[in-house]
Amino acid sequence: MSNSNYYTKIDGIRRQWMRRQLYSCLLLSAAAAFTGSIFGIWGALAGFVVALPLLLIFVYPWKLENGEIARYLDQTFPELEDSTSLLLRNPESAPQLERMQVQKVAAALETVVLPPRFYRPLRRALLIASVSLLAGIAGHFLVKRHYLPDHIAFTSSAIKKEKILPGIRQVNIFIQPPAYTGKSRRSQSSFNITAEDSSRLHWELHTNTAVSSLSLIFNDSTQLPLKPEKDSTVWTAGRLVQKSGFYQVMLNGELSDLYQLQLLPDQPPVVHISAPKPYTVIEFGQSARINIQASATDDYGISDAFITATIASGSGEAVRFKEQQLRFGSSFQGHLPAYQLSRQINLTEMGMKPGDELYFHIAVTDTRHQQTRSDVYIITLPDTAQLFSLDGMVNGVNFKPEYFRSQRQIIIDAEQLLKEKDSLSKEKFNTRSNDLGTDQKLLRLRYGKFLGEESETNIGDPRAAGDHDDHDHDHHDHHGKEHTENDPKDFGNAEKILDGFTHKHDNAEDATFFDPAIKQQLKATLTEMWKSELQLRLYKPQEALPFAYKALRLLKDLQQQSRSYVAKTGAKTTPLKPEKRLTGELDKISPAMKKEQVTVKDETAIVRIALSVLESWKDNHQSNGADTLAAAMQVLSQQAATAPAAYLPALEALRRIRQRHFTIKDITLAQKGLRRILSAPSQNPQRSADIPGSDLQRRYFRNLKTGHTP
Amino acid sequence: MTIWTSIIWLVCLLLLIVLLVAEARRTRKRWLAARLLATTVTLVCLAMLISPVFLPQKKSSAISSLTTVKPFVRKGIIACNWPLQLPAGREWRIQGTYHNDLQQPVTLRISGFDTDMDSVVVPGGQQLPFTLKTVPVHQGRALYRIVALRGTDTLEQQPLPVEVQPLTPMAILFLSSSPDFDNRFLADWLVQQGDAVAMRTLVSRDKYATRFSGMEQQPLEKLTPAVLEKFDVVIANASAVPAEVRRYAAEAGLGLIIKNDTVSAHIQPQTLFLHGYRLPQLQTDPAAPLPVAADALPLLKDSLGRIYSTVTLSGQGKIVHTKVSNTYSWQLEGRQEAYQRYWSTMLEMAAGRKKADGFTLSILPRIDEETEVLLETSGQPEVRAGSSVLYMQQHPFLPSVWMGRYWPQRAGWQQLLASRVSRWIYVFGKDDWKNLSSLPDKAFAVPAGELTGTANAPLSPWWYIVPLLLSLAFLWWEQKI
Repeated sequence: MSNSNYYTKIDGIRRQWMRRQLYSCLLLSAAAAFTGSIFGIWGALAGFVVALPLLLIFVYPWKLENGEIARYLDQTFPELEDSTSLLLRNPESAPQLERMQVQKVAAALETVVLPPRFYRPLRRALLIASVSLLAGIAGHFLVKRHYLPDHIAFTSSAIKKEKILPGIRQVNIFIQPPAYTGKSRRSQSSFNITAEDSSRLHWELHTNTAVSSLSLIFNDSTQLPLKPEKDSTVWTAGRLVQKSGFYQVMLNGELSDLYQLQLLPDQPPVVHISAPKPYTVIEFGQSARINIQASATDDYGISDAFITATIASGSGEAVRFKEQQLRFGSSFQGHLPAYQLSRQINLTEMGMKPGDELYFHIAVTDTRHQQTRSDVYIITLPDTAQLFSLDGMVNGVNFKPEYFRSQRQIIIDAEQLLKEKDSLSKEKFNTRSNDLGTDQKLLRLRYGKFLGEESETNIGDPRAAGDHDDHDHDHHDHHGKEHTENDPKDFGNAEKILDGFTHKHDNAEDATFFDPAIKQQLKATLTEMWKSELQLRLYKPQEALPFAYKALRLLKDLQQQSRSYVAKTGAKTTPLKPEKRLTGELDKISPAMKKEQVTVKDETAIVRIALSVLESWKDNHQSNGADTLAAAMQVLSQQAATAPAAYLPALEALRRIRQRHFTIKDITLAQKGLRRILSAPSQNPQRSADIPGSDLQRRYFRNLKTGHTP
Repeated sequence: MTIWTSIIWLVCLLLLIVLLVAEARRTRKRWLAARLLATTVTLVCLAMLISPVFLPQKKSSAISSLTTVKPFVRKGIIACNWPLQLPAGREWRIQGTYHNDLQQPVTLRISGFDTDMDSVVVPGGQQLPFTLKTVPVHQGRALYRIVALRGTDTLEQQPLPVEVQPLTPMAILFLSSSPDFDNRFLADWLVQQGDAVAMRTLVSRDKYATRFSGMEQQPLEKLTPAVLEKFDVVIANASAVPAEVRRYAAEAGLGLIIKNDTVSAHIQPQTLFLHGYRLPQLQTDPAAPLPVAADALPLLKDSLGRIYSTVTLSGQGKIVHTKVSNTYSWQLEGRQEAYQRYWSTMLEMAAGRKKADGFTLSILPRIDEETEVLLETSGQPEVRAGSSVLYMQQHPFLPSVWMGRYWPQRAGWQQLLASRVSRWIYVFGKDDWKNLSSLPDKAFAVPAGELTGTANAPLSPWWYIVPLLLSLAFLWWEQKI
């Protein structure tokens, strides 16, 4: 029976597998329990009890044959040569070949080590259980924080059931929202109404028996009588409502509770422009097309949207305005609540010239003809001609004029080059463009000096003429050139010798010439020059122009900034004569006297008193303060008319109190409503009351002064 | 049951199931039932060891002359005080001490008219003083409540009666040697609040611009005692106060607020503190001179302790000196609250007290307990409380003080009526404020006989350590044989 050994080994594997399955089932149901523990101990128990049988039925761990284990071993371990099932057979009845194979495989089976895959389900279950344990703890704390009793109290009072008069069997209220909402007619069977602004309401009341009169009383004390149908049990009436408030039903002279009538106002549309920026400058040479993108939203629907654009041209007193309306491409037939608007404007087609400005805003109209306008956005085409004027140079402080001329010269040359482009060969064009780039670079280097940047002093020096393009790697050649062009006059000139060997970087003296604002602008100018140079070197003078213009404009600004102007002033005051001061005749002067009687009227004062009156009514002192309550009720009903949802229950309670049919709960409700109207009273000065017995002090003081004893 | 204990029990339950299955699977079936029992006992005891079990126990203690009497430990709100009357718009402070003998924190909360006003948390196992404050919005009598809560359980609830009194307008006289913004703003504000204002501003030699708001026209050229008598407080700059006004103020108890005359040269923004209340920044000169007498009480300071306003006694009256003269900028900034607080405090500090007859009562009048009533009035008073008459006895040395005793028979608000004065008092019920340490101990004396009650007491640990050891020993021994 050597096979029984292998049999127990295979059986052991089977049992091990089953055990692991069972444990993983237990762990998974524990995971369910942990998750359930968010809802308390019973949730945890329920989770466990439900999950365990479900898992056991699903996994069914004990339904596993030894044959399956053998197959599993065959598939996992190739050294068993698909012959594990032979080990399970009876060895006596097996043929010789089989027995030999059994012996071979048995040896292999001894060395088999179960792979980690075998333990995977258990590990996975352990992971799930620990994750859900953490989730359970976290969830428990979260639930604890949010599960406040206040919230429950609030919701329960919010969905309070309304009371209706006993004679009324049924009510149907048909709400016809106004056309602008695009909503269809709906009906409800409760008296509290929440409807769109300007809705038409239609009440249909069914009574148990025929009644003689039925009407609705609104908070502005208007009455709406209902008309009976033939048998006087169905009464109807309609009204267009334009103000929030509340109403009552009067049946044969008997009044019902107050019902709220809350209107939802229509909000004006909202427009948001995402492009362009509020102030856009289009440099000369840039594309004169502007893409306007905006979004418009409304709570019901948008009926129209358009751009109003105004072009201002000319300068000084000769400014002309031209206004035009531009439509968006999209049609607003659908009256959708939100639209994405976009429109491209070609400024040149609109007739804009350099120096003109375009002001535009977007107006959006909703279905109720409420219009909203966006802010005004400005697009400017700067006038480049002005930059070329020499006004600033001729008079006033001369701020290194040759530099401005250079930048202007580069622009003029570039434009000239563009004009002649057709008549030039490509090589010639490229060379000239490159030359312009070189000029631009020289200009930039000159300005760079003011910022303390690395400078080249040998510009214009014939020795360095060829190499200023490759500035970065040419310094070490100087040494060689020094020897070839040795001037006898320079003999003993230490500076000249040093020049050849040193690499001059930042010069500290240059860096302190200007204040930081000017330096910053200079830096911006240099950046534009860099960009311009880049385009010129790429043989694209057209693209270089905008940068060149911007650099020129910045330089012009710099020039203006550095001017200062002090106006001449001359003022002479007459000397004072001190002896004449305050000696005038004042007999006939009667100074001002102001007299006023102010009556301070504080509406909330009566509400404050009503609070304590209600407090005393709690103790059955119901005799006093009835008129105070009447006045407070008036204030409360004004509040309820504007915000019925907040104040109507309190008003209702106060009404019951005044009719002396009330409970303590009504008083609390009324006090809460009144309390809501009030804010903390302002702090006013007040003489504090004397403590009784202080007459003694006064007597003491009197006797202290006179000096005798009583 | 907390989440922690439920986790422990759940883990033990799982372990128990696993162990029971392992025991049942063992090939040797000897002692099976005993082994299962022992395993169960082990795990139950283990769980109990980790999270101890509390059992309600009936406690009884017989009081006899032989047992030593333990001192009675008061818990809950053991001290509390609050103003029973206060003028409208004033902050109402409730101060006291809470002794929390529980492990959990306790929340103290005051509420009135179904609205919570203020709350404070007292940590577990501590005795701490507390201060709660609110501005009552009502006018008249009302009952607020102070509630001690543990989580959502109410531990204690006590009534806090308060009577908010309506304001009586003040009459204020402004004297100024030049037109002043600050005076103008202050006068406008006071008039809006219903106070009476008169103002005399020097505009030229012996010429005064005057203003009368909310009061009759007075001859202000000569400030005679007959004119000054009509005012509670005089606000003036130093050069505009005639000597006779100062003299009258000292004799008759008139309040004076005197502002600095000097124009400050080095003004800078300063944060000021009024009795510890932080006011918004104001442009002032800390170096400006301020007459500080030896007995002056500082009112307004900055963070460095430099003094800006003081109050001094001057005879019967009080003088407030201040070097702040641009408080109107608070109003322009919209800092109304700071402005109101500043001027209310200044005017109250300066103004004398109102003369009034009045009742004084022992604190916490209780139903069916003796209450002492003190009345200050001239002439023989006749005092009534509801339907009963109180017979007053004159004080042997102070002829205007009358004393009486009163046993209230009904809890709640009651009125004490004398010939010229009345006062509402609140009579507390038998169970209100029982823990106050200011009350005599007799209210808490343990009645003779037996004291019984239930309390949660932890089970002695031996109840589970011994079975645990026994069952473990059995399981070990069972393996050995």
